[in-house]
Amino acid sequence: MITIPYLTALTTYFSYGLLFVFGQFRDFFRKIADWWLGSNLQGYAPICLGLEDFYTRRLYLRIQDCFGRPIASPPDSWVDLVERVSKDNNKTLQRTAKISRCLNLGSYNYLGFAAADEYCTPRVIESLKRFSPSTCSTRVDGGTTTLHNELEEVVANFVGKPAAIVFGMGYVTNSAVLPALIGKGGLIISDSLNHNSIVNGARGSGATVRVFQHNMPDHLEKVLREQIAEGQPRTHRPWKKIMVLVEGIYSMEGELCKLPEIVAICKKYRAYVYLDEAHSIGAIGKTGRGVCELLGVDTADVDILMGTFTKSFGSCGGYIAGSKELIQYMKYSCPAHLYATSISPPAAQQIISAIRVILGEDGTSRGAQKLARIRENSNFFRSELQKMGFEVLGDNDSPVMPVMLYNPAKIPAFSRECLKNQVAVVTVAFPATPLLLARARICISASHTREDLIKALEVFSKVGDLIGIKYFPAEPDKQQQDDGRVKLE
Amino acid sequence: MTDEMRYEPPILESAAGSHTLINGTEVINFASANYLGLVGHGKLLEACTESLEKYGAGSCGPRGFYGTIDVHLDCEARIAKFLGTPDSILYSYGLSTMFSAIPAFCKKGDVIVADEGVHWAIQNGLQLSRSTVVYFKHNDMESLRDMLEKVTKGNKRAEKLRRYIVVEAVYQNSGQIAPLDEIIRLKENYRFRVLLDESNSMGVLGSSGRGLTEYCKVPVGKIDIITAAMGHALATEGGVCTGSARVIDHQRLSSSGYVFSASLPPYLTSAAITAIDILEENLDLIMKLKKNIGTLCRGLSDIQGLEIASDLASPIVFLRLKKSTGSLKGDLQVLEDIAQHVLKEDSVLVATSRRSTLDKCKLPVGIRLFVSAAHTEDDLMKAGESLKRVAALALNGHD
Repeated sequence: MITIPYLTALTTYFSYGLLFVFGQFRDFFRKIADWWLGSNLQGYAPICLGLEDFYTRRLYLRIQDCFGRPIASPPDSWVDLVERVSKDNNKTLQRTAKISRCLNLGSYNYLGFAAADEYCTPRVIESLKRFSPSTCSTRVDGGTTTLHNELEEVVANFVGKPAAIVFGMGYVTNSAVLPALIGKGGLIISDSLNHNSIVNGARGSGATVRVFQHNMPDHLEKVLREQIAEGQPRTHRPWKKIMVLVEGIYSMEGELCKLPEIVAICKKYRAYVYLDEAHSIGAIGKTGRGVCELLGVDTADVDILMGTFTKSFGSCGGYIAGSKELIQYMKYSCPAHLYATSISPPAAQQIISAIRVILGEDGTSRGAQKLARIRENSNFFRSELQKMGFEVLGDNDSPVMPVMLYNPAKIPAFSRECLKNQVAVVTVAFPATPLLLARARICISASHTREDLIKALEVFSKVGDLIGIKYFPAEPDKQQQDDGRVKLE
Repeated sequence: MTDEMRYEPPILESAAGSHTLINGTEVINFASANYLGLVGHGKLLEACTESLEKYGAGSCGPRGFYGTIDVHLDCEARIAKFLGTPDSILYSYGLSTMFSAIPAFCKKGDVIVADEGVHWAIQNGLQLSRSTVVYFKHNDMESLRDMLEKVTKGNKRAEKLRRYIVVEAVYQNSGQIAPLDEIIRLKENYRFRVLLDESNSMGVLGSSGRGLTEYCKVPVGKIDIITAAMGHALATEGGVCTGSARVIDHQRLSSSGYVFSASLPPYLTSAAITAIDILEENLDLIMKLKKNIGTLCRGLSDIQGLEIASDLASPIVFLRLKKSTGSLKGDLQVLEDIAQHVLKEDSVLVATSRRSTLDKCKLPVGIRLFVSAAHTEDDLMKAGESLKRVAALALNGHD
């Protein structure tokens, strides 16, 4: 859990309060102007009511240039950012022709497959020529090619389950599979910081949803006991099915989930475990098999493994892995399989080739090198940032590291200052995180070299001093003298 | 585990164009929604190869965090220009377009009147939005008018609520075409907003392929939100939503399928741009498609036991059983049999309509044939004859 210093909390509240008051003033004047000028949509209720897009109009638009920055090159470790200018005080942004080359610390490129790769790309182009970019039909109608079947086998082998099914998009995988797995009369217990796709899927399923505090197995046990004792909401009959939804790495915290304890509790109370490995598959674990491998949990204990291919494999799509009967049932009933176009064949080939590289089946040891590099890079970067005095979240070995900012004014300041020094970072605020806890999120990749990381650290140190986000005292210099690292002042 | 759950779809060994390879034999493919025949088109493949070499395969990030590549912005501008609307927004998957756009605008308490035959993605979006949903009979304007009356009469709060009508241009579940001019008249009368899903009509209907608005001669500005999945005529993946600038900007922050999901891979975006370029240069593709639909409908006009349930201008030709066996499963079994025989004996691949256990649609099932501009006269004739023959055999016992 993050504990925020008292003074920082006060100043953050004050800043948000000020922004809110200003926003209300401007809204008031806008209302007068609108009433005066009249509008042509008489009789229709406005499409966005007052407070709904208040945040968008008054707060977000001021710092709009920090989000949605377009790029003109593959999202590799160094990326070409397109510069944008605004002529009307940040309300709209126009692209210019200028580009600037920046170090990319924001894209989900954990193993470095984002750019054209020497093994993967020729094979992808071959599949493109053979199967064309899209099959234009659903999996059951005539969209299943030999590639799709191969992909499902390869994924099932990689993850360690008997069978797998692949969908064209990670978000849809969660939202469309959960309703098929569990319905009315079932109980879903999900972590409080789960991703929006899981929340949508749980809501769409019609089952009762309860939340347990983030990553606390004790609270999970308490909630389970209460709910089993009470039974279904009005009839008090026992639940038809209980499912616990957790994620491998939480993308806003960088923490690993406490999987062994949670699996033990679920076994005790006979609940199913659904593990979403969107960020952890391919990036952690000795051979890249995700959080189960890292924490030593047997994959047979986790009932349903879900993951996406966008992050570590440089492609698109999602998968579900489980027992053969489960997958067969999914193929029969899941709407995303029956109604949606199948995954694009070149993307499928990219995943197959990427998995081959990771497992070393392409004949080189590039896969093992990548995995070792990402682990080294993450640990090095995290320890250096903590030494400098930044407040960094997340566990060791996780390639996602959020750096706390708290104050709303520091968000654009951090982002713009880093951009001036050719480093591209991602800053997140409300509503993706709680109101007070704004942060900058750094994603390390296996394609970052040691020099890149050192440059990033220098820039962070400079910007951190300028803005004042080094909330912890920096450790003194004499503690860092081994293996020839550059001394950071 | 029942037998039908063990169904294995046919596995293709080559591109899903008008002719494809299954198990080593060449098969005429009526199961891919490849309306303009762009699958396998040379220019499309070139554009994709270039894009792959430049940008790699994936986009590695959501739109807000360095996942916006310049081709995305180009594609949005191109589609907006093509359809004549101010702006558009790209989604990375056809299915997620509708079920993210609807909850972004419809919240608890709003009123939505939808056709009962809309497909699952729209139903899911309606459920997620938690608004009050009222269904009207499939493509029946009288029923729509009644529903609108019922909803607005005596409801004083209705003035302050947002009200929507949700229809599809060409219904995926039945092949009917919505009478847009009627709907616009009703909408203006009762002050509702219209959400139109043009997945199967973009690039197909209208003299230059701009969709249902051109076909019914309605100015495109009257429709508030148009969504379309690009996996049909444009032969790529993904979806797009267009409308006024206010509508589109709102979605950029509050549509969950846009904000929380990775963006469309760049090579598919280049494919979309190239597909629209090809469409604008070769308008005769649309003519050819219309002719093909006509030929096929004539060839299928008197099959024993099956009747054409779709509109004559729709690119999905929907064959329904004249006499149903009484249950959904029974119908499906009969149609499956026909489809299997047609594939094995005459090498024609057709698709039966599937229903998921979660689908609430109650329309009858049938056999769907997706007509493409790349099909030749022979293909269509062959399909017609083979269906006649097999249906006669299979349905003899059922009449």
